[in-house]
Amino acid sequence: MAQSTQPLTSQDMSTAGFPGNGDLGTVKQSIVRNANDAVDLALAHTDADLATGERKGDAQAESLPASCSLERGNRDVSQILDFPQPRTPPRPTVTFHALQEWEGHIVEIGEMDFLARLVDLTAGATHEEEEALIPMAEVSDDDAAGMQLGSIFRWVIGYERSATGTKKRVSQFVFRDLPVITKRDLRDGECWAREIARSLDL
Amino acid sequence: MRIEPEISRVTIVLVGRFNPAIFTPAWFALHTLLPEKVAESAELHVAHNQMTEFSADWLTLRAMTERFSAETVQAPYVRLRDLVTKVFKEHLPHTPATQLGINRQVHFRVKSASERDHIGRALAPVQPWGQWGERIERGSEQGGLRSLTMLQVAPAERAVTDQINVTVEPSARIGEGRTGVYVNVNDHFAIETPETGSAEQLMHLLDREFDASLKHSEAIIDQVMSLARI
Repeated sequence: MAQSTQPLTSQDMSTAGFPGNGDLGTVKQSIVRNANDAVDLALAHTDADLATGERKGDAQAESLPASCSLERGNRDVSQILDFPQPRTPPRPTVTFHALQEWEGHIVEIGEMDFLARLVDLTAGATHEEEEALIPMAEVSDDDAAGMQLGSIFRWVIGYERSATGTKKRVSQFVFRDLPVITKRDLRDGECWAREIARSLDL
Repeated sequence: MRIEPEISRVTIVLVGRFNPAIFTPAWFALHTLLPEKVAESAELHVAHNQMTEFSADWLTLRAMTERFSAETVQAPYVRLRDLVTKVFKEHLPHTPATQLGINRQVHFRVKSASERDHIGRALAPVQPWGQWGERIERGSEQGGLRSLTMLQVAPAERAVTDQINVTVEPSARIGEGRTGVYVNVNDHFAIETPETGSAEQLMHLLDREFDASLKHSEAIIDQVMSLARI
């Protein structure tokens, strides 16, 4: 593969176009109008790419040579102004990659621990095959307070990396906040049940 | 995956018509979509009627008038699906939306520049490029694969408007420009009815396809990783 290069980032945000004198209200309105126009233009610059993939700048630093970047987006706008793509958000400082993941549901809650049945998602299991007694200290105080019989959670063991690259093995419990069941879900469920019944000649 | 990625991300993207102004941390807290503590500590980057963007704990969210995306770099990724599904199934089911993307991205590091060249050469051989390719052949100092995207239309007998796009590039974020590899798998779903309520339809797709999509994407990424071994 070719060596990657640094993004071209320099932008000259001049103040040309604002009125040099006049009352403060007019100046404020003008600033707001110009700012809104700038946002609209900058966003129009990206309208050509509305597929559901990641925008290049989101995941990778822009690495095309300057000659190529002129070919992209709205040419008319490019010829007048060179707006940057919407700013890449600052990345969270911590990344967490799962090595092992289970989905579990709680079958018994004690004072110091809880009992859960687990499905090993990493192994591709579809049914509960394991049971674990998990110390209450492993879950956050908020999760412990909201815990009920039947609560569904994910248990993930993986590597957590800090922004500085420090890597450590972490075990984390995340309780799921599932969407409610809608009429459409019930309808789909009934259809599925009828299909199964028909396939079994019931 | 046979090589542990240094950056591992999942992004859910919706294309449709949205009102970016409502997607603030406060709105998420009000509807108990995010815990109050998380919403209060959120970092709001942009709040405008054309675009809203914020980061909160494990989540980064961006909404524009025609595009909504939510992403995370922290497992378990299922909470991203749960959140997006709750937003558009319970609170904004009438949003007109026509496209859904489940994106899986990784940046991983190989042991040497020559291992990375091996991936590049396997995916994009230089021989078909003739004499110019021979000059590139000398190694990554001379050039090589910059970006490659492979497309599959109508994967797994899905609609012809659905597709999988896989992009492989040198990583610009890890490996000091020499040993990092970036792979992005975009699993794209489209529906033909951009009418009120289509977001709910997409949420059923998301609910049904999310796990399988990530599994399939990781298998593709693993295949790219397998090319590093000389």
